[in-house]
Amino acid sequence: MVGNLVLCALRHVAELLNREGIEWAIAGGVALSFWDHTRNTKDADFLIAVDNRSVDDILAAFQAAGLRPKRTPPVVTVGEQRFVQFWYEPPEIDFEIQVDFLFAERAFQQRAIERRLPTSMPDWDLKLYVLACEDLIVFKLAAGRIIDFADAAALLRANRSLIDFTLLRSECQQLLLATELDQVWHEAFPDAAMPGVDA
Amino acid sequence: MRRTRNAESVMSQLLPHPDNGPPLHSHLSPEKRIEAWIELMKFGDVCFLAGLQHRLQPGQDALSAARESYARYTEAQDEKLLKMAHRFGDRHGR
Repeated sequence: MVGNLVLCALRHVAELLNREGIEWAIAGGVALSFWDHTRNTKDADFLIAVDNRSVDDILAAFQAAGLRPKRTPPVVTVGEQRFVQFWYEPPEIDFEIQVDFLFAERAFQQRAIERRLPTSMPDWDLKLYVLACEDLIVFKLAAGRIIDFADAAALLRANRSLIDFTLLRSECQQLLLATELDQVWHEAFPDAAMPGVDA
Repeated sequence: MRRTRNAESVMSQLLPHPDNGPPLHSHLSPEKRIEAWIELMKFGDVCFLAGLQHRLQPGQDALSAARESYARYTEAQDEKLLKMAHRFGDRHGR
């Protein structure tokens, strides 16, 4: 039930973002599975670029597409980070799905948008974008819950040979997440040093 | 910092040793892995609905019970998003 509704919401929002010419990347279950960590997570989390559009225009486009702001005022500001949350009700069912949008306003997030990767869903005639594995790991470390750390560890294990560790470490250092990265690496590979780091 | 250490020690109990972890799907294309996620979500729905039948209170319908369950999920989501925003919004980080 909820799984299908989340898929409906993802599709609706992906079509909307593509139509509006907004650059975006998924940071939830689609991205995790893309990077070989399949978990039954029902997140509809998007990182969206807001540099070439005013936030008011974006919010208006979202509302015109049937999304309802979760909060009043819609935009939440935490330090220098802004995000917005909406409800989406798929057609023909009285059930709302939450869709979260983090604005890519910090330098790291803008780099993450540049590094995003295109993919597709079966039977969906539209392009989807997911975070690069390094960036998804940074997101998980920033989220900071036990389950997010476990996700980060699983991503490290599944993609060890693909990950650019110089990039990952650099981004973590700039975001003050280096300690968390080291801890999660140790959990993922108790007997090995991280590539590029002396044991 | 203490919180992170606690999280680490709990994670040690939850995360299997690399030798005992679940099988990876590296032989599948990313698109096939996404298909596997969709199947997992659908299977999760089936399990959730089966469990719901046993938990429903008299007079309670499945849809309202699913809404309550999803509301708890979104509370956890909000907590995660806020935590992430605090970390990314820290003016000392870049």
